[in-house]
Amino acid sequence: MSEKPMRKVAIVGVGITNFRPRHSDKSEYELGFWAVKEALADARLKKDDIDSCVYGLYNDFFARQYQPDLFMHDYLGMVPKPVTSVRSGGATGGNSIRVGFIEVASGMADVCLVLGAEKCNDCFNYETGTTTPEVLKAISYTADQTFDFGTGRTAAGVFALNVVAHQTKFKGQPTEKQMAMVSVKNHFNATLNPIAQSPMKITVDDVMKSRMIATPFKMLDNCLYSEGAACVILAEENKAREIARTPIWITGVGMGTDWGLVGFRKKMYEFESSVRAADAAYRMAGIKNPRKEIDIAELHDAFTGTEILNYEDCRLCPPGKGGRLVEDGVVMLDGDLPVNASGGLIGCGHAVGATGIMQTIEIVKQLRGEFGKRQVKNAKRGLVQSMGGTSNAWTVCLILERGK
Amino acid sequence: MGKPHPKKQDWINYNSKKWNLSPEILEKEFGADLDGKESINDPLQIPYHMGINYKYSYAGLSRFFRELRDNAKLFATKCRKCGFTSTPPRPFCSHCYGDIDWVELPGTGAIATFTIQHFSSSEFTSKVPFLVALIKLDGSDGFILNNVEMEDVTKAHVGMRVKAKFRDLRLGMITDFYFVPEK
Repeated sequence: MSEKPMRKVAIVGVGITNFRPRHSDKSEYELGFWAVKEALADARLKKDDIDSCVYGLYNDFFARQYQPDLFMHDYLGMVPKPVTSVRSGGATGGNSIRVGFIEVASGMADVCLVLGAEKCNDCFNYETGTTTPEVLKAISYTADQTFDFGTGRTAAGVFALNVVAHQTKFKGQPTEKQMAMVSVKNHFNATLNPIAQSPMKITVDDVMKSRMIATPFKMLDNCLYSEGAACVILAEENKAREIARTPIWITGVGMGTDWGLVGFRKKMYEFESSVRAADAAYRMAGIKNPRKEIDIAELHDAFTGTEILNYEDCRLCPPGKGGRLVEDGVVMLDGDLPVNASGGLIGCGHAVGATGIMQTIEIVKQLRGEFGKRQVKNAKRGLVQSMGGTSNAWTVCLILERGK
Repeated sequence: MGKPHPKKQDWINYNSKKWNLSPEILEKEFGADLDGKESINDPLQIPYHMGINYKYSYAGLSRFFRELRDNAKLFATKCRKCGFTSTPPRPFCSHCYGDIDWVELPGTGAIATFTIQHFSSSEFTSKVPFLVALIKLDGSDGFILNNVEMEDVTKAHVGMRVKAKFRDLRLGMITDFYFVPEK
């Protein structure tokens, strides 16, 4: 399989809304408009400069609309431009950027707009008077209806299966304490991120004492569902150099898959889709030693244990040693390889279709050097990992670089 | 601030019938708005439901669910070409595209990994805490995800031997069986 893009692709504009539990005054389309307007302004482009669009809107039940991308295109006034819809569960945002990259790298478009948006909390459980059980129900329809759905497993439950399998293989690693440290880190990082939904200064003890959700995950090991939108504008090399002050180049794109049906998985103790995606992205970017060659990463941390397994699966440390990275402070904001400076899904929030794009925007701004307090010094190359599909079956990894 | 709904009781009666929600719940969630306590530019919320009825065909998987429903037996598919015994079953071999034969399994196995759900979606809220486990089935090359029912779920562990137990009333669904500790 050839993995050589035909043209260089840069991110030339970014826009993002606040991530909040609910934007009851904004529809998914209005959130999309907010992010798109910001991204166009950031790129100093007009709507007419866009050649094609990619939309990552994950859940039709959330939107109360089958195929909402049709109407997103309308609301944004992008008719008659070509458009592609992407739906890859939690990996929707990352995979949307991958598709936008393909549009530009192949020459199908010179400038491509990639928008992810999600609005979950219109779902409502009238019995409990709360949203979450109904949000989980909307998500549960993406579990295999024939075999997996009836077990009542949730996303937390399925990721827990991986963590327990990992603990079984690697002598109790990651420990609940190591996982709690990830929660403390990501909630703290969110205090420095104005768009974040869950900024909190908490302790390991707070996490350990929070109520059990799906063993071994407790409440503070979980991300929360968010509403929000995020947009990046991609351009080919000449256009990028012409318009962008600091073009951020996408030098690596990789995607990997695992079986959607959990019963078909070969290894539960690792995310094979992540291993494949990371390896493919590293090959394209020419990265041999990711731990040394990557300055900053945004990894999928829907649950604390997920982030730790992802350190290993993205080859930032040897298998079974993920927990050590957080214990040794390597992944802290002031560490050698900060992970989830944005706060990640746990701190910033998980607006599913927008999440992978939020992670990407964090890295873009870090590489541009635009942050104050949470700016990582001398960040030149970053990794974005976007995973999902039912039961973490699909993963996309991106390598972003400044300069060149 | 705003204008009270001129036909509040009719609104409640109509929505109560249409969405199968009690008037009390509708009053709790929408009463303030209907009484005119929100202004004209406040977000306006309505009750709604999306759902589709099916007469769903299992097609090539029908044998699995007939054996389950009618004979209380657990079956897998075995590929004639590569020999892979698949659980869950497949109507064709997803590995090598070979044809399959149906083979009966003893219904025993061991927990490969598991979680205890203390929180779940609307449909399962009343059942928590419950155990979801990936079971390595004897006689299969794959696993199956299902519930394990036991008195004290905290006693569950990886490697624990389990056996399938079939419900009295079987509906032709995966939930027609679950696992219990073998001993």
